[in-house]
Amino acid sequence: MNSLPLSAIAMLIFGATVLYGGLVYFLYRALKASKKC
Amino acid sequence: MIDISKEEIKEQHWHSRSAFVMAAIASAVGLGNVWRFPYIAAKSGGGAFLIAYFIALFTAGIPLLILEFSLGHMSRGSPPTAFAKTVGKKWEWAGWFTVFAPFLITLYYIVVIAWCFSYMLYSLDLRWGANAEGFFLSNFLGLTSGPEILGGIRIPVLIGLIMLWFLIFVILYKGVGRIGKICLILVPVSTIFLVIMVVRGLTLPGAIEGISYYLTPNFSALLNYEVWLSAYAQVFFSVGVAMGIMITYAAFLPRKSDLSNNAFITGLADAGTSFFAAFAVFSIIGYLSFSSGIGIENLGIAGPHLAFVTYPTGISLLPFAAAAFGMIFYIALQMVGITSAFSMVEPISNSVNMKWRVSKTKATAIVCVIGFFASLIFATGSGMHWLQILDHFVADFALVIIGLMECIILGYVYKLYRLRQHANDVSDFRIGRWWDVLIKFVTPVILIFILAVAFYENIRAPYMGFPVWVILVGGVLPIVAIFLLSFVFMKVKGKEVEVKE
Repeated sequence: MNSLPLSAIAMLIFGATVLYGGLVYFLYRALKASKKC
Repeated sequence: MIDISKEEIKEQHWHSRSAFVMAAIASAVGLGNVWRFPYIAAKSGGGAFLIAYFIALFTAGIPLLILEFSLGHMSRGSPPTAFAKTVGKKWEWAGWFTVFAPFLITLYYIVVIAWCFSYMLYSLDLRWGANAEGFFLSNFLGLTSGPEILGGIRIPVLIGLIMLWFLIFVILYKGVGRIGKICLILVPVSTIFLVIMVVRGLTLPGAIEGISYYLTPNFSALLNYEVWLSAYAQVFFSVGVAMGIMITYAAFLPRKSDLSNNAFITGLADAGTSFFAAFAVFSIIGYLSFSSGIGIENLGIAGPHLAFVTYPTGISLLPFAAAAFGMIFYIALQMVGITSAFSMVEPISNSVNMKWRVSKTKATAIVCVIGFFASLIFATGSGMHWLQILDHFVADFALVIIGLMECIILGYVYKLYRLRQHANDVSDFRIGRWWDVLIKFVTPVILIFILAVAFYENIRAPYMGFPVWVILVGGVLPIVAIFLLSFVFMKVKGKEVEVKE
């Protein structure tokens, strides 16, 4: 096997989007609110 | 009511929002992210498991984080104080039970970090040689044939324990202010180390097969209820709830703090670390499978076996800089481990400090000394046996019972909407009634189900075939003891202290 199956690539994109996309979104909201704590 | 001095208040508050968030993430991210999540994901449908995991994260993990943040922040106290002040004085025991459980975990968790310390040094000359399993079990642990044969105390583990308990004391005795500073350094550094491991792993032959084993989805697994139970259990154990940590940490936030957003950031960062760490694990496992010709399914890919047998074997086979990568791996494990370990000691140290007005230094010293002596049993030749038993019972029963207890007490005895209102009053975005439904119905039902399955399996056959008396002494007795001790601590008269800004 030389490359990842398409289904694995799809799950990789799905996982990364939900987790890191979500994290970036909430960090962005936190920065936007620019609360001290 | 006695107030804390201004100096103590300064030391016992987070210096910034990022310090609090980093500390919460550091607490949630632990050894389980590296050696439990990848294994659970791979055996529970691969990539399809992510669907169940995300649903569990958003319906149980993050709502429970919001619950604990709100309780700590609203009550401005340690878990016993939080339960006493919000629900009622007679519920103070629930807070004590909540802080005793993570202290039990720390007793053996810290021993595993001590193993990592030794292995970091052993990486220099790859001392485990060609037989990593024999080296780990016989040479290093001196594992006895059964838990009843204690064997001697292992000196390398003892040295690690002394250093680690002292380190925990130094980090904790000044209050959460220092925890924040430490986490602001350790979280980014451990992440960088993890990135190095992933990049190195992905450039090895066979890595793609490992990643494929991890991510290729088997959607039919989602029809199996055990996969859903695994997902909820993994989220529950991973995000660091039911241990009093998040209640304690949130007590030291300023009045105007974004609780809901912080909960989402913490939950997603924890899950994101698990997802990412799996690439470091499966790329090396794929390489090891490629090099040795052994199928991935036949290699140990979970728990101590992964970290101290499979991974070292893979490291030994690296074409260059094997020692350096070995050191990086064990330093990263120590970093994620120690940040979780001190977060599990802080709730009890803080609770003693608050209830009896003992100085934070004295409270931390008492807890660390007791912890050191109690953890010695796990540094003996039979330590691995006792560790497995206690870990199994605390994780499968104590933490689930505490989570369930929190949902029931705060959901039914207390008026849950008050906590929601409090979170909404101080947070950037509002949470709706859906949160009440999750805390009062969805999460308790799932936790009862997890508990019932665990209970059935333990009744059906003794855990790992250990004798019944060993299971009673090593698993059941400690949990019963901390439960009873919770009532004793509640009854002992204290001096109430409130955290003020």
